[in-house]
Amino acid sequence: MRESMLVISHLNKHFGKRHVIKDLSLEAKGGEIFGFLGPNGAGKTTTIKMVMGFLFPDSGDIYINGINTKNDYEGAMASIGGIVENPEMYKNLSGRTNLEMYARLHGTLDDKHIDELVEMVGMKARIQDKVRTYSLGMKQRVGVAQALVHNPRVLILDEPTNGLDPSGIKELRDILSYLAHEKGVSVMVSSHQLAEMALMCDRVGIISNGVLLSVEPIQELLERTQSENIVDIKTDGNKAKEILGETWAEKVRSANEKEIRIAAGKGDIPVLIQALGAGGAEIYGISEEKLTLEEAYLRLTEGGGGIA
Amino acid sequence: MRRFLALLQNELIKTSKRKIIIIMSILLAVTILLTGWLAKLAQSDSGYYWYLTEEDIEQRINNAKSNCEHMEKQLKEEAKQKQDSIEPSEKHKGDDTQKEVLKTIAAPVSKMPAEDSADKVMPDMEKSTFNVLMEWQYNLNELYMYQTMKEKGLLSMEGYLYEAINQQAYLQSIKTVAKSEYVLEEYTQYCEYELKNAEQELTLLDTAVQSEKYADYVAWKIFDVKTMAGISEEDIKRGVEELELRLKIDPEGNYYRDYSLTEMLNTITTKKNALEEGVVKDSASIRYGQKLTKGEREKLSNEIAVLNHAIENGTFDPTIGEIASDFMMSLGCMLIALTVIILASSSVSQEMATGSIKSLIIAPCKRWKIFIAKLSSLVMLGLGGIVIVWLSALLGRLIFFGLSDAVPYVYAVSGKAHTIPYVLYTLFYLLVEYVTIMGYVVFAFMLSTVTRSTAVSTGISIGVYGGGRLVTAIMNNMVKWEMLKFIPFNHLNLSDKLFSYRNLILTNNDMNILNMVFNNGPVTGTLFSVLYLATLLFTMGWIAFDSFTRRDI
Repeated sequence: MRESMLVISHLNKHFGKRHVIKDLSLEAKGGEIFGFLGPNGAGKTTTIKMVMGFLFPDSGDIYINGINTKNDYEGAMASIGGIVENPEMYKNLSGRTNLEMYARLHGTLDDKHIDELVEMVGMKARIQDKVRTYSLGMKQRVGVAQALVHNPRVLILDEPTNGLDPSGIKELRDILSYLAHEKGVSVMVSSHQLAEMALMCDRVGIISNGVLLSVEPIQELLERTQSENIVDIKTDGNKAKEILGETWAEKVRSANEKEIRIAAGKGDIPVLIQALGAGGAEIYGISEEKLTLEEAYLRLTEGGGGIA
Repeated sequence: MRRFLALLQNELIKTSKRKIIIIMSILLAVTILLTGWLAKLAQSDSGYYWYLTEEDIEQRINNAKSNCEHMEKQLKEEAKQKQDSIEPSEKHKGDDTQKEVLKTIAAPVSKMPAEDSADKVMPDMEKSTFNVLMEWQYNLNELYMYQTMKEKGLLSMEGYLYEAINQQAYLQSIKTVAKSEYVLEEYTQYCEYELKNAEQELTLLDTAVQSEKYADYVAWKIFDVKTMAGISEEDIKRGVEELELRLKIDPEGNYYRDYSLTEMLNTITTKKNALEEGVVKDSASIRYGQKLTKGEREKLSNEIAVLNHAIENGTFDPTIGEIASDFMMSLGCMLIALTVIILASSSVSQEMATGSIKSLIIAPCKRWKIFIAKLSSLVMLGLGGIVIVWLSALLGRLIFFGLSDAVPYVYAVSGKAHTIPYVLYTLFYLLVEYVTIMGYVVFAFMLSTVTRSTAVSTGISIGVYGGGRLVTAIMNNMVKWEMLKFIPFNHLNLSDKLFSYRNLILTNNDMNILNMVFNNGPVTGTLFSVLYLATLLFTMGWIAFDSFTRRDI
């Protein structure tokens, strides 16, 4: 059983009178990539900022690698690395110097390790240049390297794929997957890129209006939020509807000259094929329609915005 | 501790790469070199106009001779014309008659008050014999003077010998004209004051010029004071006493023109009188006329000891080298102050604006350590800057003026003078200056942390630094409220308070007028100022600390 590396327990936060985080509790385990989803203003960044020490919670506890931040802040923070919003470094210093400065704070100043990280994020050619000459994507890469310079046990990334090209996104995904699944790091990613999250994450937590709506593996979320199974048959839908008649009329969800969509399970597929075949319908393809993460997310958050 | 040192190292790395450090370093070097060079130029120029060459003197002698001949010729012609216009029957009456006739040539002149030569009324100068006589006398003066200078091999138009030669030549020229056949009654009346004691005066002057001794010069000056018209007996007595004292202090006449010595002697006299009478004699003091306290007595005797030390060692007048190095240090301090204030005012706010604060907050360091590291890096940078100013100013002085005439700082305890070597004293002075600079720096840092806006914090900090003391000085000079002593700027002259004996020497120096204007605030003790500043620094630091460690970022 995986160990909980990040535990948030009954966290509350107010901005003035606005109660922005309401009794939030969640755990991110070692060896998994945890996706943190939610519409704009839901409280994702606020939660992450409280974990990272930018904001002070009104109440609740945060445990990082088993250490309560209230009791041993430095000990807890030594295990965490992250990027909050855009990675910002000292512009008049080189990328290398920035990494060294950060490593120095952690007591892990090791040239060889820094070289490896630089190689890993693909910044070897430009690491000695001043940060002010970097593009957003380059800053993102160096930001990832900075977050990893001290071999953290918990890695938190807020919108990590911002500014990255497709190959960069894939590289990042591979890095995170490697860290989580090979190295046992607990990775928490907050993003609006649902397609990416679906590819990357093992579990997702969805937050809306400061309330955590669900935390579960992606597959379970999809299955739970999918209200019914749909079988999609590529055929003349109108003719198919006539053939299937009264028995299936109520379960036909849509029909046109190219396809017919019927609320049915896997076991109904052979029956449908036989019926349509007997009725003379020409079948070009059959598939089970799966609910996407986007649809599940939207259903759960009731139409919240901000989806890319 | 390791993390704190890592934080501190990072802060120093960040700051050292900022452009302002490079700009201010260049400015500092240029300022110091320029100041030293200009001061050196002023020093060498100061004697420029007062030195002649042998050729100059020869030329002036020739010019004067030529002019004298021309004047005499003119006078002869005028006399001949008149002679020719006299009736033949009158010619036999001789020179006296001719003189009478010449009188008629002269334009009418107003009667001058004989007792006050300062109010002499000049006759109508246009085309009159009187005018020619004055011109002749002037050129004779020049002739005699330059001839004597040539004899003596004197090329300098400074010094007591020159003054004696000049006066000697003047009196001789007047006598020559007064005894000539061309002289007018009006001229004799005009020069009556000078002619009155001319013989005695010339005797003393001849001795002084012959011997070239300062003592003989002083003897003449004493005679001059005693015979001066229009001054009281009391003033004569004081003048003579001062001359005698000056001779005693300065037997070689090295400082014969030094007014600051005179002022210092007067100051010592006043303070001694106050001690003897046991009463406050400082007219600027609110306790004027009251009985001296024990502390005031001690202070007076210490001040007298310091002043006497200055007179005994000839250090009563700051040299150009000292003034120049003071300037270098003041300007250097100002540049360092501006640099560190600008760095402090952007220390937190700029990191917040750019977002680089995130990497600090995410690091495993408590906020108070980050805060202390930032503040410590500013303190260290400022201290480093002050040391660089000190070394640069010393080097500048060494290059342009040398250190041989560097004057130690003199202080006194229980009426006995002690010294601190110049090199050490300047370092201590700058370190105390640095403490006052830190007041502005902590203020700027506080603003940066609280407002989180670099523009606001920099603007206010620079404004306060540039205008705070000026506005306070204006208030101090316009009103005398007790509450003024709680204005922070009235305590930022800590270096002047701790090294207060320095001002005794500088008080008479024109360069110190600014100091007098800016230090005319309410009188508060050094301990009060130190405690007040410490409280202020602590309060500002605490406000900044609380804002940084307890506010959301």
